[in-house]
Amino acid sequence: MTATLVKLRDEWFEYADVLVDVMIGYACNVQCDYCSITDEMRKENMATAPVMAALAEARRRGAVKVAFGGGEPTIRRSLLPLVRWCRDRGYTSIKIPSNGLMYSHESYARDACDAGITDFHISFMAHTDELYAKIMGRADALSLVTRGVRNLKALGRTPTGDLIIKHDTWMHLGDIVEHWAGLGIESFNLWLVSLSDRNRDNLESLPTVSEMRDGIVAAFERGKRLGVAVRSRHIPRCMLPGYEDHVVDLRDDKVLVVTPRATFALWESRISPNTYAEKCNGCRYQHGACLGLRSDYLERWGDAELRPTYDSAAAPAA
Amino acid sequence: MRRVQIETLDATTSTLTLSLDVGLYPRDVLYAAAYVFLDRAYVLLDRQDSRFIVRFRSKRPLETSVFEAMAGEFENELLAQALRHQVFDANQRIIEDVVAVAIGGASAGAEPAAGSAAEPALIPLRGHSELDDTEDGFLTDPAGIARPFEPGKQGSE
Repeated sequence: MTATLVKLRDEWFEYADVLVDVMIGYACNVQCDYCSITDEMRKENMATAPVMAALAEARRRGAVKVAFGGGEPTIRRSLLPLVRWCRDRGYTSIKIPSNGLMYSHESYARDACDAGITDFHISFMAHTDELYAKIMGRADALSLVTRGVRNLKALGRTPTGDLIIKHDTWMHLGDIVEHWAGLGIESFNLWLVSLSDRNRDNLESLPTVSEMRDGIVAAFERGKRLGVAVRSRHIPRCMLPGYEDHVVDLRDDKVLVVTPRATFALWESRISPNTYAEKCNGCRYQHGACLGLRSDYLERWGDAELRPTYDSAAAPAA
Repeated sequence: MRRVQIETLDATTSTLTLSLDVGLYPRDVLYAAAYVFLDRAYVLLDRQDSRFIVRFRSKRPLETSVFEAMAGEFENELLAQALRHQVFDANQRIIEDVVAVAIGGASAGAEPAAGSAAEPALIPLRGHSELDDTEDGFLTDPAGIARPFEPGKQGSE
């Protein structure tokens, strides 16, 4: 094997195709009501030097795609210097996922663009002041994020929207898509709330997909009507029959996650769908187009909603 | 109301309480200023509405005039630490660049972008306006957007 290859789980990839996703720290400027980051984790932040060392090594091996996650990366003062440093050394894709609050400062939005961020991702919690405030804990959250989006759009940038599916958002997903599409957002990812770490005992936050299906489908349909892309990234295709083409395989992104604690492939994460139920054995999509289900979902709700597709020879005995 | 004022001063109990407007100095500056007094007093930081409260309990008996001088010293220390804060912010990128070169050298260096003319300068030349930029973030962030959330303190801000 050459030094330009990296192993993600059991496959080898060219570094040039891999997104190096550095969790530079878990500190955040808000505490959303579904966030899985614990108080202890919030104190974990990577020093800048090891981050740069890891990125220098990845770049030397051919990596050109990097993301800085958290926590909220934009509150870290070294973020934009890190972005400039990456840009100047040949990283051509620099992604920042954010809650969008900092971009409400026009000067920060401009500096972020100038520094070299190429992909802005913003988590849109809701479409109303009330729901946004309930989730994010700031009464002015919606107005600040709206201002942030407008600042970025004025600078010629179009963020990607990340939407959380949970007990108090699923029924609004269509309206949330429409609201932010109205501000120029063209692409949305749907993420299923995770029962892990700080949110582990918040069982109410995660209803069954069957219960939330109408809202999820409404988001897909609203997207189609509005001409924007809406994709699901955490729900197996068999739980969204008729909408399989909206289901994204996380492995396509080839993400190598670097955290203060460990380095691993995104789909090995505890909050990624990577678990098959027993009834999945023999499904034609197992280990192929289907990543499986999130383990916390399987633990909470079991496998009753899964609808494996068996080839006749592989069908389990009745 | 003065920005920093003496709330209580009681030489018999060796205590001095100051208050200051939370909008004047960032919390980091308050911590740094209070730290300077740790050898002389026990210090408690608190907050009441829109003012930080700083309580000193001297480690040895002091005259009232010494406590008054301590209040003045604390005001000066706040100013000194605020200036340090600004200088650090103004030089943050230079510091990062120096570290970058050190780390890059230690790891055999990352290649510059294909087609780029040369390795970026250690200390890039900047526009005059950037060097003149005296904004330091906290003064231009009245909504506290950049401030990390502190567990257990939500709602008190």
